[in-house]
Amino acid sequence: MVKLKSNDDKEFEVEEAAVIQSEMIKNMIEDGCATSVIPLPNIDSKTLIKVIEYLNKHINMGKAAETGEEDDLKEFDEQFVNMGWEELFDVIMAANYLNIHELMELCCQSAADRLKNKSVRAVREMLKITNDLTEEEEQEIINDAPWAFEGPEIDDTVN
Amino acid sequence: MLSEVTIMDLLRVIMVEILARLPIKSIFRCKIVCKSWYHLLTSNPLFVKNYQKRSSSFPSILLSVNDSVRFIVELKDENDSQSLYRNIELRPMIHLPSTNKENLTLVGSCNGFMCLLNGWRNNVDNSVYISNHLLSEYFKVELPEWEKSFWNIVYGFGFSEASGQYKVLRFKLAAKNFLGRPKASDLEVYTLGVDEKWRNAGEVPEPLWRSFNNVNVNGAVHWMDCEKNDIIYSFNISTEEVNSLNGQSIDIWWMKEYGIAESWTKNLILKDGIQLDIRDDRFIPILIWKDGEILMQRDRGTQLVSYNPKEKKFKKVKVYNGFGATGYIPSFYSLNTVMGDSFQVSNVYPKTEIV
Repeated sequence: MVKLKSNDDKEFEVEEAAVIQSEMIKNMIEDGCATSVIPLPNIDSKTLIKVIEYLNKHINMGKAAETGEEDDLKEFDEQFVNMGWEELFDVIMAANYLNIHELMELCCQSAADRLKNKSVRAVREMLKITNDLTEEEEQEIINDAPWAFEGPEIDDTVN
Repeated sequence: MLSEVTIMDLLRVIMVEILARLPIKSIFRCKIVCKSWYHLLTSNPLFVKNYQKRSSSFPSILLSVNDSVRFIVELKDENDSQSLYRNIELRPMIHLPSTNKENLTLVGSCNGFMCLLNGWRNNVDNSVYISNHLLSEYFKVELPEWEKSFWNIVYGFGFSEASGQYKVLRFKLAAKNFLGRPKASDLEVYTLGVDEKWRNAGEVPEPLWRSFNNVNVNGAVHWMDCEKNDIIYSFNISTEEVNSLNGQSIDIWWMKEYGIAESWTKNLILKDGIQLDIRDDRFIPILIWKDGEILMQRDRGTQLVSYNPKEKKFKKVKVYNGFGATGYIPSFYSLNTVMGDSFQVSNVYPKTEIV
């Protein structure tokens, strides 16, 4: 068992087989630096719980194909990324910090899937981005590729 | 801790990681979301590294008719159906000013930049263009004066990650000797954004079929010996050294040409496993996509098929019949960033339009 500590001082015990999916922690264990509690100053407990949930589910991922659990895992992944933007970004940052490649892929793909085909207005609103381009600058970019701003698939809804 | 996390708090690397997964049209739209995204999408080198990744989620292919490149198509994976439908298509067709579009052959493409040859290979008035069609940009490479003693010219195009340079290669096949075959060819190199003129890089063995087949891997352009089929030569784009590889690696190199990893060799497709009606066709791999399926061109472009190594099954892919297909990685990076300030990059009018 490996002990992880979130930045709000909560400790979590995780099986070594699960936690080594994090390249960062795997290296620490190999270097003998994981004897006591591993402090994770960048991750709060809420996010860490999510990450651990993922690690535990994916513990035997290599064997999933043999045991026919692939579909189950796929369903778990779909449910797992069903979270708000803020929470998703928290998990992405945690996955990046802990260097968990599969989790990173999953979350970035989910973010991209949500942005896919969205209108400019919808993207800005969903992600709370303030437009800092002038109207002229904006028009110039549109003029360069007007086709990108029209088409039936463009989705202006925010969700 | 109470402050809200937004996408702007993510590292640029992560933002690129997300944006690079969008379809072409979405990426163009994201340019006007804000200044920071504009720079990320138009000039950040980080984005280039992710191009390769895109090809598995949104593989793009170039379609050509009779060896002439016509369309860029971005494939869309329809989960439920057996077929793929076109997602985007460039319209008007790929064209360049004052060229005969019936005869615009692809020399090669790297990171979304295409090297195109207009005119017949051994024609006096042919020309070579480098273009980024998504941005309607092109650069015409000035060719050295025609030399009559050379009976054929073969072009190659490559990119070196090590030096960040793009180079156009030009093999001048010497006139036939008394046995009727040329012995070797002179190689000339043109570095984009650096060279004013072509440079001579020495004599090299002649390529088989007088073609490179776009074999552009690991920063080197490869070709097969014209007489001994078990020798493959490589030209390192960065060091400009020519090396030979022995024949045992032929399978691997051929596969790598299309971005297919070494695992392919362990994944030999047995003829018995191919459905009867298409068993005797010739298949050319194009790219790997969705969970390791291999997209292949069947029978000189009459059809695309996708092979699933797990199920050992071929599926026909609905794109366009009768076109030749090559893998292509779109670029959102201006050709100006490669050519620098000393070379004039021009724009195609009317601008390329995607519908």
